[in-house]
Amino acid sequence: MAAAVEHTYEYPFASEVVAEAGGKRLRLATSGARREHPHFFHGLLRQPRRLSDLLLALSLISRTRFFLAPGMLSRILAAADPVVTSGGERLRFEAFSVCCGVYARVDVHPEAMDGDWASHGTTNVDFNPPMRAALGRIGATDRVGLTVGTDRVEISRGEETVVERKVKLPMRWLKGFIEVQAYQSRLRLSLDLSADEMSRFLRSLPTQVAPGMAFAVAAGKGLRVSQRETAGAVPLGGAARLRALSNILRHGRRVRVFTGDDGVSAWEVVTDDARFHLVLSPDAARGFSGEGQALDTLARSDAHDAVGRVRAALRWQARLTPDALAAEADVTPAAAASSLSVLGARGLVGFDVGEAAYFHRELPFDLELVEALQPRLLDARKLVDEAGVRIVSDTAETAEAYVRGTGVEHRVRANGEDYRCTCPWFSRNQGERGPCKHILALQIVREDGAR
Amino acid sequence: MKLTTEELDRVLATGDVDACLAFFKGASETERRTVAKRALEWARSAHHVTWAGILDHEKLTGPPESRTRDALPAARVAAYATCAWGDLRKLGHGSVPDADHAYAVLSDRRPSWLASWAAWVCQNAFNTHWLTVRRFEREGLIARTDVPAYWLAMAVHVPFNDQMGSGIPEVVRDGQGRMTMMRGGTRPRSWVRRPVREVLLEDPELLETHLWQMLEHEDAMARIAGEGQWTLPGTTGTGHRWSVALVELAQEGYIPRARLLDAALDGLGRATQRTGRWFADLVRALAPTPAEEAARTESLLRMLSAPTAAVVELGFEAALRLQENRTLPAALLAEHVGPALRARAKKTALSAVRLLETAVRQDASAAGVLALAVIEAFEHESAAVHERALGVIERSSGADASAAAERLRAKLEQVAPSQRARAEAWLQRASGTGPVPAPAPTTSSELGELRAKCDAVTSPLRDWLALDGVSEFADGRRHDVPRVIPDPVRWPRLDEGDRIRPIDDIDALIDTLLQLVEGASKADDAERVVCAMARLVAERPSDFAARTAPLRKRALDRLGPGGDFGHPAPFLGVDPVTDVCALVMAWTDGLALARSPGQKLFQTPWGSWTAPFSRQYTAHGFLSERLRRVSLRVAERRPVALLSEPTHRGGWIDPVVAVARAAAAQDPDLFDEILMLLRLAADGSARARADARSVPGELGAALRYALGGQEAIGETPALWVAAARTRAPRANDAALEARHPGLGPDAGVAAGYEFRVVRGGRGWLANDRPTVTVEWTPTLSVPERLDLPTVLFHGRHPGISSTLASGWESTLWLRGPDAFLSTLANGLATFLESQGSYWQGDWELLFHPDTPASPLLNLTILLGLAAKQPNAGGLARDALSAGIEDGRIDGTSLGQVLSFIIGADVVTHARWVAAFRDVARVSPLHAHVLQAALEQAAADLPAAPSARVVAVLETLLEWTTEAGEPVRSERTRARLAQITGGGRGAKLARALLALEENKNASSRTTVAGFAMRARLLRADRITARTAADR
Repeated sequence: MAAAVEHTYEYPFASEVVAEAGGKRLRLATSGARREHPHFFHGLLRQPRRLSDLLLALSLISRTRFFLAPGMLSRILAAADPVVTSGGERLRFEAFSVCCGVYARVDVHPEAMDGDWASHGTTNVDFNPPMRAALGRIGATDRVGLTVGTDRVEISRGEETVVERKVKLPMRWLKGFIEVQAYQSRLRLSLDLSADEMSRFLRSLPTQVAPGMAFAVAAGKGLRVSQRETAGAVPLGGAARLRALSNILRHGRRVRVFTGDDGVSAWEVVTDDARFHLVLSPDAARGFSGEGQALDTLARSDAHDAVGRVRAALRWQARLTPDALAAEADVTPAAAASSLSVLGARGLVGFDVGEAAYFHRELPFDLELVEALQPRLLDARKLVDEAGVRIVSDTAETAEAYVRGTGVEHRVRANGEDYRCTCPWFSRNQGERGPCKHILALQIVREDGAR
Repeated sequence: MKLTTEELDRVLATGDVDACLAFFKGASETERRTVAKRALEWARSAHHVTWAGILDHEKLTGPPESRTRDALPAARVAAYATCAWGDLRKLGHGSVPDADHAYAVLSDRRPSWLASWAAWVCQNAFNTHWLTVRRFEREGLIARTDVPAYWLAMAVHVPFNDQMGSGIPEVVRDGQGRMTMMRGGTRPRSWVRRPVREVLLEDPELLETHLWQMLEHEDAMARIAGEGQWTLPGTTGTGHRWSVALVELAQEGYIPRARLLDAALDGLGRATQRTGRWFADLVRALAPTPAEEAARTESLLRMLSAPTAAVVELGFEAALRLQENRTLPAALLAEHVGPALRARAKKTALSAVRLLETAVRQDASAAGVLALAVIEAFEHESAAVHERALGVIERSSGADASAAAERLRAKLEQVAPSQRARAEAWLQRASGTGPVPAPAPTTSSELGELRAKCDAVTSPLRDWLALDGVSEFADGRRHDVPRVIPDPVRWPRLDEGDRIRPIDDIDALIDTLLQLVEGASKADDAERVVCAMARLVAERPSDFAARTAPLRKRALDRLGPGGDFGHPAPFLGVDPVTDVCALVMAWTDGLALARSPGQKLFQTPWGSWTAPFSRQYTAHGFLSERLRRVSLRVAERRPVALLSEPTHRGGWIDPVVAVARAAAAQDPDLFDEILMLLRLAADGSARARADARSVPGELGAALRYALGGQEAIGETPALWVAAARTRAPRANDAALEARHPGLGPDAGVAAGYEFRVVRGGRGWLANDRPTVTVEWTPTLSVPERLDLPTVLFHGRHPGISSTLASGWESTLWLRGPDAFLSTLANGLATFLESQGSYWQGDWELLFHPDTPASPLLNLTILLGLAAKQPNAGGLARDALSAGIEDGRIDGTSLGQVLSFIIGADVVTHARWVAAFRDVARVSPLHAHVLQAALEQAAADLPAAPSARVVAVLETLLEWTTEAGEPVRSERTRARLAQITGGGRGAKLARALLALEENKNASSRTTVAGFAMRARLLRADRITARTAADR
């Protein structure tokens, strides 16, 4: 069975759309790990149909499996509720697809709502089937209020039934949150399209998720799918996954596309008062969880002072830039940037690719466990503990070592930040999916030696 | 009775479940625990014997009587009567007693963990015990079980209410007591299944609360949605279906009809492909009244935007009824119809426009709102949809129309060209202003500048790139843009940026080898490692064994005995990775692996096995034999610089370098010589030919001959075939044929290709489907020589070829790509309807701007466009787009092959029509070339109108209108005139025949501008090559 952590969703009531004087109210129930049932917001939605469509799209992704892996525990995976963050007068709802290869986030800007911000924080939010059904019935002209969480008075007064669900959250789902922000922080704006062009492009996409890599390339004013990587091509593995945007494009003004060198692409639908992000893994068969992008950072010790100072400066900001943080935490901008990357690997900040900035978000799970259960990192530490690393040479710039493998010793070479190993994992992926355990082991040994 | 182990053994030995229940009845928890260990032993033994057929195992500690399936029913009751919850959970759901027994034993015992068990059993035995759980709830023994699986269990178990699947399987054994098979569960005592309505009616709470909650759970509904397919015994009657029961209960007043209708509509709102049909059928079965539908108008309209066809269909049915009853507000329709207008299916979009047409007729005052809404229809690609949409727009006028006019003006470019004049006319009427003229992509002055640049290009480059032809097209002196025909014998094609960096150290060699073994598929890298190993074989640093140990291990893993479908033996021409692994073993261990003379047995120091493949006389067979020969040198640690080592990407060798290598070569291998000759580029041929005078012997003569010199044909046929095929790839060589006659196609005589349609398929893929096949002359029955690679391309029809093998083959004879393309095209034709991708091979050759677009290349692309596998279709689109962009593919050459494809009627036309539309969007040049091809091929359309004729004609009409051209092909005009009648096909044919030249159209200038820009870039590139050459 896949590694999983026991987690309890405890909601004071089931999320619902209820009738109230003059309209409806969307009441979202919050759970909590760090704080019980936080109360974030109470007010009115200016464009209720838009927000309900965005939330429904997010919810659909969280229940969709774009890739059918043998032995996948769909029931467990499907039990993972979205995460909501309140900070800087914004609400951000995040979720992963069941296969962990698609990350979706709805950012609701202050202009979308009229009301009172009760507090900041991150927690799970209940998206139950009846609530989803009611969400689908919200019309454009309805007057709809929004409540995220509820205050203690309301809990004690109400006659709600506490909704408690104990689930085994798979490690891969939790790790996905860590990995996806590491990827996003490396993406750059690549295309800016009108919603009409995007809509046309979506219609040209295959309906079935096919294995292998594809690319979106410019064709006239729009895009078309290509099988070859050319200059400016946007990687689009499992292209049919992008069709998840179909139902929300009518609300979009622009669609911005972000890419990097890793085969990951992020698609941001920009509306007047909200943004919807869809981040696709390089291939439908690859979930974000196994990408190992945060392993380097996790393997490194974060004892240095800057991380602590930057962490202390986190106050649920909606935008965290190295320059601003540097001033606040009294560290250099470079140290602030590096610290944000470390904090991201520990689930304490997320990355908003649309704004090219981190935001404060503390995942409501036991993240120490996530770190402890990174299989490659664990294996690497075990290799180090069992003296499985034999250093041949080690200078400031280069290093060579033999690291114990299965029935053979693998040769690991380092040249600056560039590490190479002779194991099958590295030979197959060439570092694209993070370092192998042998490289991590050498990195740990070298860092220990340096200290 | 006192509970003792002995008494328990006695009761369980009888196998009597009732006696077992009686034995424990009323016992205290303390008494039960005294015999729990023994009960567990019984249950475990009986369980293992029953389910796994295990008779002897150290863990089976129960008495001999427990080791039989007959002991299981009573043993599991005993376990449930005594054991701790943790032990029972470990026993698994196979040890849960039948429903009645489970109820009896647990209601008597009333354990503290009953609620946990209820949740667990819903998740693990959802189809057998939900009613038992429900019984406990009703009796107040537990609270409501709150797990998602509870609803799934209810969905399944209510119709299958007779303990389906909880019987005990029957293990069948052979004479020695070994288990040979296990039959499915034996049927329980009673096989009486009660109708769903009966189960629901006996538990009122199910109708009041449970039913509605279940209808909201996706997992449960996904299960119920498939109930029509359930064919298990006892379910043949419709009374065992939820849908039937619910409709009956609503009709009889047991459940509120309105609530059921609302629940069904809610279900449709979140329906998946699977559940949509079920909910839609439920709504239809409920037959809502006009009043009920009017009260739910918004919910019904929301279905128009559903992603599921069944739901959209129901939405249209309801909307039509609402319109008939005059209860559909136009504003509400306008708000919800957008997604349907943009839907991919033409039928859906047309139905949506029809709704708007009716709405305008019913309520003229809403014409403006409806006109604004219908503009979404211009997102659809079908001109027929645009035509109808304009009909709606034209009904609005005055102030009402101003918003629509503004919106339409912004979208005018998306309106089908055949309808654009009509749209512009309406805009003029509606707002008094015409469309904002779009600036021409290429202005006259820009074209003038481009012409001046073209004029500056000197011959022969100017002729090669057909620059004068493009100018003539711009002037209207010709009607198509002429194509570029790269001549592999005369065109220089070596770019400095394509130069290959040889591997020059052992670490890089190991890294690249490891990547190949782990699945990298670049032929250039495969060549680099083979050549590097041959060069570096004598380098043995002191830690050589340690450095190569991981590589050696991976090679050994790969070379291990394979079995029928495992890895084949190396050097048979089957699997290049296996060949590379054998090469690794030659390098690390000095092993020259080969098969024994008996052919089938393959022997290695670590074992021998029967190779599942025999030697393949194919192009790859040549490469494989070359590697075997290299491996012999490597095993002997004799370093050699291979003559055939590519100097540039794609396998090309600079002739000057080749001559230098040949001059210095000591004891070169024949296969190496052949490959070198076949990879020669044209760059610097004159200089190389002069240098080659210093190369002695037959190799020198063959080299000079390949580079265009005059030599007498020598005695080694393979060497001279290679030289002749490089010298003039597509011409017959009379001298060679005279000296070495009858060697096969592409030896002395160049292969001639013909496309045909055959029935029966090929080899193991034979079927009755008509298939395109590429055939050649002269024919070759069975090739017998591995040293004639150009001939081997025609040896047999291709089977499955990996990307690496295919890519490597494509580097074999670079001046004659048609031989490789013939294998690719035949492979595509064979696997046209395959969903897999393993047969696709490597298409890289098709993308190179210097690969001529021969009929075979066009055929490969057109077959690819029609392939079912999306990746193959995508590659073909890319290749078509690239070929048009660099000028190799023109309308005439593509049209000729398209005519054959249309006439042959062996491909799914919708696929290539869609692909054409996609590629046409890339640029005006692409649209022009595809329009010209389509116009030419339309001459071979069947005269009888059909859906595919309509699709082709519709596309042709749009593109020809856009180009501002009439249909110029006389053959096509004649065929169009034959398409008669009153249908859409005939209407389109008439519209095409009526088109006239639009002198104001700017498309010619724009197309010529695109073509000139692309060709001038190529001119620069080729000029740079020529300069480097000098």
